[in-house]
Amino acid sequence: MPTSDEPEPTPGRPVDRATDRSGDSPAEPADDALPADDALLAELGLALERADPVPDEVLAAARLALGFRDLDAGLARLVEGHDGALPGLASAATTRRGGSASEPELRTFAGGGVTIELQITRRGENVEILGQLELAEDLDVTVEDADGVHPVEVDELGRFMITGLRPGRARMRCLALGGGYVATEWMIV
Amino acid sequence: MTDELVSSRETPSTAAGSAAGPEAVSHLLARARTGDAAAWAVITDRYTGLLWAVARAMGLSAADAADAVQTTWLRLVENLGSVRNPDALGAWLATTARRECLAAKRRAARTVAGLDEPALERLLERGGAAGVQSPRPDPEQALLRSEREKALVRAFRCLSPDCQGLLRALLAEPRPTYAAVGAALDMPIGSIGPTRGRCLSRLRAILTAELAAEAAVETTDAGS
Repeated sequence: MPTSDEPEPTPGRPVDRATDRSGDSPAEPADDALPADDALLAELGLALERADPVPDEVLAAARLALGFRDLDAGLARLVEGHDGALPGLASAATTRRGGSASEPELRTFAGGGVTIELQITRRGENVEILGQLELAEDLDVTVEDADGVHPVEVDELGRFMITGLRPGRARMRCLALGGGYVATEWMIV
Repeated sequence: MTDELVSSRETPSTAAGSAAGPEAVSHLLARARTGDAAAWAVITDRYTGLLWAVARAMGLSAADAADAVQTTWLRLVENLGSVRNPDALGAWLATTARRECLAAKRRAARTVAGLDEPALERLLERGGAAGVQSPRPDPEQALLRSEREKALVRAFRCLSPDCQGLLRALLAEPRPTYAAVGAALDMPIGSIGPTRGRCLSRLRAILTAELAAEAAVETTDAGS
């Protein structure tokens, strides 16, 4: 959460509070930053700027990130994630199909009254997700990847299977029972 | 230049050349919340350099660093409504970027571990799995101007990852506060200054040795 990272020193971190009183903080440039150091750092800055500048695409993509804001949906946050398989969801037939599947990974998202459990498996160049929705309508469930938004078919028990997803960033969106959309945090699959 | 770094708080930095400072950040965030793309662009332009520095210093490839930076921005978009401490935005972004980078490295390790033999070979032929960083020179390095500059970048890459990370983070444009750097690198703020000094001493020593070796080679070439 943006609110949890205070810049103030915490008790666990013995930092410059004590030395600040004398004005001799370790962070005080007069104390630890020799002019020669400043010059070398500045020179390094110029060299690295030419050797490894921030790509324009990265800056451009950052500016466009605001467009991904989902104002209509509550946020379901990742509450649990570990390797493994969803019991009762993944039959041996589905998990063992294909020789190059990665170890499945389980992730649980919760929020807005909805819980979404996902079992994510990488199969070569594609990603497969087996999942289960709790307290969500079985209509209007979607998954978004780099290619766009795709509808997801959900059975009467809330189970679904997504195949052919592009590896990378993805998020799911569904309608909570009783109304209100919920989207998961972006996840990397 | 460095006086912008001394505070453990986000100082009203002048580095961006724009209206900076805590108030400005809170205003920008408030405007971004209403969908103001211009305000959002000021925020991303101000901090993307720091996030890029964090990701590259942690050894991510350019492609993975780009992903981690973008994911960090999307995390802020997700949490835009709940930012209650805009003064700490730089530190929050840096911490988030660091977490995304660590996750990317874990994923890369897992992907490689989970590959079958042919897939692994194909990857190795391509020069490594995405995100599994082998220190290889960037092609842009060929464009570097002077020998000294090249030697300086080479010397930098000889430094420990911790030193590379700290110096890169300190060099992000606009200059970050020590608080943001500390958050990015998970370092106590009080140790940043001394570590900076040690890393620069080492960099200078390697650079001097490199340049001396080059000069010796040139002398030998000229003499033969």
